Amino acid sequence: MDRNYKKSSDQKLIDRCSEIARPASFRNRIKLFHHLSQVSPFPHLVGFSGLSSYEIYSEKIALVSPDHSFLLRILHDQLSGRLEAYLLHPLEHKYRYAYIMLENQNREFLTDHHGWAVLGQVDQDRSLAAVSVCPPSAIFEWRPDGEPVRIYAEEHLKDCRLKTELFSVGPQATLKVQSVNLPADSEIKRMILVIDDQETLIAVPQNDLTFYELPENAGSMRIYLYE
Amino acid sequence: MAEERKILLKLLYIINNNYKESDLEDLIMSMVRLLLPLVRKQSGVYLKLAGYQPRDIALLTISSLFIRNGQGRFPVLERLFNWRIVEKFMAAEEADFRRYLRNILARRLKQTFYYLSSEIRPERAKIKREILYTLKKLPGCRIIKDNGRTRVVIRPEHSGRKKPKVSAADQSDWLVEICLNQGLAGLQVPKFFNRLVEFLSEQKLSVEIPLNTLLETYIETQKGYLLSEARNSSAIRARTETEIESPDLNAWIEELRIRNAVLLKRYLDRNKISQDELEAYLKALNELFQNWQDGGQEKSLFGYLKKYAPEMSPREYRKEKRKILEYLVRTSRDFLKLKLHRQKAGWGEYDGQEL
Repeated sequence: MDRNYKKSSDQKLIDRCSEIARPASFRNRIKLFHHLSQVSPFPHLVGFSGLSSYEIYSEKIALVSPDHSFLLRILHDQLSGRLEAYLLHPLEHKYRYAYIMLENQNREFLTDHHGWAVLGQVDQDRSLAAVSVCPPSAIFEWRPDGEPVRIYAEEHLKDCRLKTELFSVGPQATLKVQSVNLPADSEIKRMILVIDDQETLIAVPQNDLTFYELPENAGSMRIYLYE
Repeated sequence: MAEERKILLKLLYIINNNYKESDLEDLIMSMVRLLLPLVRKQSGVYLKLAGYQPRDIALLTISSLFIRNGQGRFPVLERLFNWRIVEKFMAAEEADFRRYLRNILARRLKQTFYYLSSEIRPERAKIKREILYTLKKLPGCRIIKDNGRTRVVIRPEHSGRKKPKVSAADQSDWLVEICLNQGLAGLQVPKFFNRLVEFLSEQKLSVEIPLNTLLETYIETQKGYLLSEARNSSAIRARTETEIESPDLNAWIEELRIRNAVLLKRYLDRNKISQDELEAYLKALNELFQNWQDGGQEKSLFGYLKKYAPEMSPREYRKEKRKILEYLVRTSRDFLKLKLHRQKAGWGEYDGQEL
């Protein structure tokens, strides 16, 4: 019995180590389907202001969610040869910092503030056959002098709270973040700290707990939770 | 190949951003394996009470190294093991890298224990909250939160701006001395700080001190008091054995057992505990009393109760059982203290008559 216990304990340890290394199997992923209508010949019209001229892009594929609320446009950057993804949704918390998963390649990408992600050099025939997205399940705003405030949460996470503690011993401040009051069947697979438009820190919580080492002079930040 | 050499190679792949998922997985696993014996060695009773397994602590420590940024890089890992360090160790002895790696892991483990201190030692966090609550209500006290650190300014009315003539490092010892001399030991947090502020006001002193130092002051004062009390009671015991009739400890403990059974019956009547739990509490308390008679408490209160309620988890204990058991132990200790004090007072009268 002891040997069995040790075996299962070792296996648990191996599983948890691989959870840190591998893409997460998100619970609330939404599968996307190929959109059969004519793709737009003017990708620059879909919120690309400030980026390079549209001529360098060509739209490859458009994918939609079953309820047509999510639209994912895959664009090809003619200059670099890489693929880029642009996620659209009427609600900003659905496309900002959402995960895009290429199921066949077992890879995940995180969109930025504008719903944009660089996929890089991927084999589009194989990789884009099965794509899903996972928007954040809850969003909190954290300030150095206060408790995290909930900005958005899905219905079943309405009671979920974040407990934070800031440790500033030494040159590097560390932020301890713990999710509490989670429903029994819910598990936070990723916790993302968005410091600013350029810097995000992606953690795999252990026991619903994460320690982030903050950059100097970090101000208020947003914390995104994914199930 | 030695474990450390493997780690070094995997680190090199990661720093060069030329790694496979399996490399990352192997690296995490190797680090956890290296850290586990250290965690087991350092984890005390508090850790077990908090419900953390050594595996959880090792993973928590390691996972903070593997936080990625938006570009998929590992900033913390790359800072600790930048290419210069890795290059240096590629040419050095394996033992050198082993030492460096162990130092880093041990330091980060210490940090993890520190970050988890409020869960591992919840009573400290509770005292801290209580101190904050008390100070907020006390006139002349101000709480300043600055960059995550909490400082307390105690400037009672009419105190002026006279500061104590001690360095910041010695402030804690200075305060402990004041608290012990003023007889604040043994007082609950609100009375303790009320009297401390009164004393500072009388002396026209004002202090600015980190909250953590105040917490340490409170704990050290109570510790000092308990130690002196233990010395007194051992002196009493010595006298008891040589000069005066031995106190009837057995009779007191018997009295206590009856008293605790009555108290627990009340919990049972109010459906707060079951009959089995009542018996587990009584047995645990009996064992604790036996240990008190034999030289002192041997393990945590959780350990005593767990022996008679083996299915109880640390979480359950923290949630419901701890406050009942702590209450019973505290009142039992007070009961015995009172009995001893009364006997000591009797001896005082006896000494007076002799003189």
